[in-house]
Amino acid sequence: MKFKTGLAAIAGVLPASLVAIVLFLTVYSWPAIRFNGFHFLVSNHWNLGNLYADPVTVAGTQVAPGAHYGILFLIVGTLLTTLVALLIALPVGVGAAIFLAEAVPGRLRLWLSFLVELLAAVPSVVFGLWGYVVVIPFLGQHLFPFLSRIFGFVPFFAGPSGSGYGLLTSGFVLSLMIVPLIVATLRDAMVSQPPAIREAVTALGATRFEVVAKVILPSLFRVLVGATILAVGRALGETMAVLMVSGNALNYLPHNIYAPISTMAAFIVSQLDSAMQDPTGMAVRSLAEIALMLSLLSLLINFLARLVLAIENRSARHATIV
Amino acid sequence: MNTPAAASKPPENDPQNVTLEPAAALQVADKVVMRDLNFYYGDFQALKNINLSLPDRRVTAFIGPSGCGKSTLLRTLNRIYELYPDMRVTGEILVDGKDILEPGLDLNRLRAKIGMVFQKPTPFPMSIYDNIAFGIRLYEKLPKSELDGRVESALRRSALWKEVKNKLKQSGLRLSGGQQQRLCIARAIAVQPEVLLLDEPTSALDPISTQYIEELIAELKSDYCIAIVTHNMQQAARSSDYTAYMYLGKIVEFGETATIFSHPREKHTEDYINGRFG
Repeated sequence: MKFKTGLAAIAGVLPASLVAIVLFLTVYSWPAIRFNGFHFLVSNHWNLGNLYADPVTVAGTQVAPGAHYGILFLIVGTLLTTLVALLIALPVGVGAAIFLAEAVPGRLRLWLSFLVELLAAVPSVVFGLWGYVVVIPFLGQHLFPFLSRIFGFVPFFAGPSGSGYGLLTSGFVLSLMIVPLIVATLRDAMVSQPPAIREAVTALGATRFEVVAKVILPSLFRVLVGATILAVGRALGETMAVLMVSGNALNYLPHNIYAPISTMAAFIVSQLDSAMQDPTGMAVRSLAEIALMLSLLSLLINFLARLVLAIENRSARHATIV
Repeated sequence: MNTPAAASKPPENDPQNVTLEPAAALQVADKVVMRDLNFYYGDFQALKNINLSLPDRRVTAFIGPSGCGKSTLLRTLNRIYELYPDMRVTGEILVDGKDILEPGLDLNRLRAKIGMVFQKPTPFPMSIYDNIAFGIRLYEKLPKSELDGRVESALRRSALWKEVKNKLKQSGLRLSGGQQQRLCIARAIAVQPEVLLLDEPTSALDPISTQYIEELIAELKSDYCIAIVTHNMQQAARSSDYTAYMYLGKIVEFGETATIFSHPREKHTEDYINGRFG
């Protein structure tokens, strides 16, 4: 009985800490939530105010004069980098998974899969540094001007191609970080498909390509959705790599895919130092409010992922999730 | 495994065998002819020197204890074994006089011509309609109305039409096990094959569904050359015209089903049919 109680306590710590974090963020940022109101989410203007002047009292709360906190550009930046990352990672990931599951023989498949998954083990600051040193000069000087010239007729591809810091670069670096998730999940599901289905499709006279494209992949649609949602969760919260390559735009909505942006996670890090200088504490509390919003967004995505996996599990007749 | 009842009650009054009068039997043409067929899984020889013919528009049953090679034999006929590595076959399999083991043969065309139904029902994760239309669409571009007609006739022939005609858009996965297996048969005949291979088609089904499938086999044999692998002695006796008894990769005895079940030539066959081993 004591053993069981001990286990329950240990297991209970985990959900409790999640609740505690959300609760802490809510309580801590409560003055900011009241001060900023709904404006916080729809305003495109973030200003710490004059941190050296005497604080003023607005609606019963002390804030720096001129302080205004709006994070629309951060929400847009976060969602857009995630979207770009997905648009790159999905086709690449699905292609790689098919290649690994179908075209590569057993032993080599293990090694290649291992290498792909190792990509997920690279610390994000390494991705960031690599992006900063290698990717940005190349993209900024060669690829982006080229894209802008050749694909100028495509919406959001035209216009100044910038310095290399920005939306497309962030999306590209992020996509490398989420691709292993998609590859690993999908490949496992493909390899563990019951051979009976493949035999049945083949016995009807389908080619190998038709087997994969018309039956195996459609039957794994839910698995793919699940992997995608997990990848989105990762991309939304990624901080370091994005901070190093995004250009840290402030109060600015991107006008094309090369434009500098900032994301919620990266912005918290880049602003924390300045916000600490605010004697009223409202700036830090507003950063905490960003953190709260980001957590809620991630929790929502995770919840959706669980839901999809649960549905998949219940109808797991043709697909197995590992 | 199976009761000895099958042997003690020879299927003489079975309607299947009434048709098999000597005169009729003589007219039977061989659809599939196997000559000196050997099959290897790596180093293991699973089929040994098989010489056998499957008559057209008749049902040939393959019986024998587990591992005797009867499923393997079936799987050489559409070369489905080639999905897996380390499998090798020697000899000849003539379908309408043409050797299907020749290299360079269009395998997908071959498989469209030789339909197969497996032990476990394998509906595809799509609608009932699309399950049937799937194979047709692989090789034929039909207008919608014609495709509808083919789907309907395949479902009618497999005795499933009445049960599903109002829910063709529903997923095939939601049918019962017996319905799923009839769906698989419908899917196989929808592409209008010439040979139908049934690999223990009822072993995962309840008795009622099994009965449906057996009636279906009796219906279908007027158009196809049918080969069925079964562990169920009564099923072989009821549904087939010819029976091959296999043991350790060899054909021990082959002949008209009535003869095999009432007066087997080999002691070994008799022992198996009477359930003394296997």
